[in-house]
Amino acid sequence: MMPVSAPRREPDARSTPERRVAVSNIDEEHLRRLMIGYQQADSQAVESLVRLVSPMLHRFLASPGSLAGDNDDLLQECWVRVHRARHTYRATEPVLPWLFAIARHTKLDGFRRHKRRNSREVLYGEVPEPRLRPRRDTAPEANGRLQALLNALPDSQREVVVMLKVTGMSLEEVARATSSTVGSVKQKAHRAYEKLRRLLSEETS
Amino acid sequence: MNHRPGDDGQFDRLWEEAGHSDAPESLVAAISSRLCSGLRAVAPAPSPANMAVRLFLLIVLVTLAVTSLMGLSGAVRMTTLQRLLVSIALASGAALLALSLSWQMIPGSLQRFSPVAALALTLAGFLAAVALLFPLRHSADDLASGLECTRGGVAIAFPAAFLIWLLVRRGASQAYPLVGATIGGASGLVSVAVLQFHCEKQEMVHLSLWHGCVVILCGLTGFAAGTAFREWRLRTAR
Repeated sequence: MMPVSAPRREPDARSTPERRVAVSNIDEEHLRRLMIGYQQADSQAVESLVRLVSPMLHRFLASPGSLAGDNDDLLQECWVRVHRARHTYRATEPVLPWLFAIARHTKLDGFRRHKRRNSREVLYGEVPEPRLRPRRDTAPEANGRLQALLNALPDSQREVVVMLKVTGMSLEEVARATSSTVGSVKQKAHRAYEKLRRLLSEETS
Repeated sequence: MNHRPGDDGQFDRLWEEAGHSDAPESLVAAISSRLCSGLRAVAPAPSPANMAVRLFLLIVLVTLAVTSLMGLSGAVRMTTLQRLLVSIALASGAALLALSLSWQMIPGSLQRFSPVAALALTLAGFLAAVALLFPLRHSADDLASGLECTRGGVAIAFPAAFLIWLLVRRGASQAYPLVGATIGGASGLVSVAVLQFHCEKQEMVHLSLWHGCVVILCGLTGFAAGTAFREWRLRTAR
């Protein structure tokens, strides 16, 4: 059984505080050992892996306009899929592209389910639902602006930007996670950031 | 390669200002508990290269088996050059589809070409070989014999698709429509190969139209099957 520890990669000294928080500082080697432990049925490794990666997955799975409850359901579904697919992880490959490839399809299926439900169900009336937990929204105005900016991007560009921001994966890793090529991801990221810069400069002017 | 695109500081700052909802501790604990209950060790799946070789060999073996049952009445009508080059075209297509399937079986694999490109190249390779190697002849009973070949090809493709699927299901494919299309294309390729060596009408129009369309039909059927399976899973998941 692999011993479970939690070494953290030191933040890049050159990076700004904003970049440090945006970029994942999870050690890839540590993740790899946890995944191997998971395959070997080490429950400590499973617990550490779930705690370490769930925040990133949760942020990635959150769609514009989605409810906190839906995101929680998607997170659970994602981990069930990860569990069923754990035998396909290979120790020589990076963990994050493998995980986020599964998360990406979980998100797509969640979107399709949501769309089917909305097209087939009719809302008779508003039923106040008890809020199980308050949605942590420390800056609703900034969140609204961010969502509006992301909504202005095509789905494929938005997905690439969110993956790059949430996980700190490289372009090649995002290409793996999205079953795409590095050139395609680079192009999408470039176009997305061009559009975001344009929108932000229109806002400020 | 570890590139990160030059992103805008303004967007970075906005990203940080915006609130993010994180997974609650109770949910994370519940997920861990669920995963750990009944946890069993699993053997890692073979590498994509290993799976690609297995898939390629399966496609070749199924083709040889069915061809031996149906006979080589088409092969005897071909020249040595035609047999060699059309075999190379078919084998190349099989290799492309086997590679594509092996990548689709492992989430997060680096796919050097897309499944659609693999299917298109396979079909294009076969059509190009046929156009270059076989005479352009047309006979009166082309429609009747053509439909017979297409029907026979589709019939061969079904068991071939089942055998390929038995191997593919050992992975963890995520995009069911694309996997379905690729399995369909591969089984269609098996049929085309069998027909190529069995069919006595070695004419360009007949081969490219009535044999070639088997790949398209099987690919589309596989896509539809994959889509139906995905929709079924979406309906039954909750």
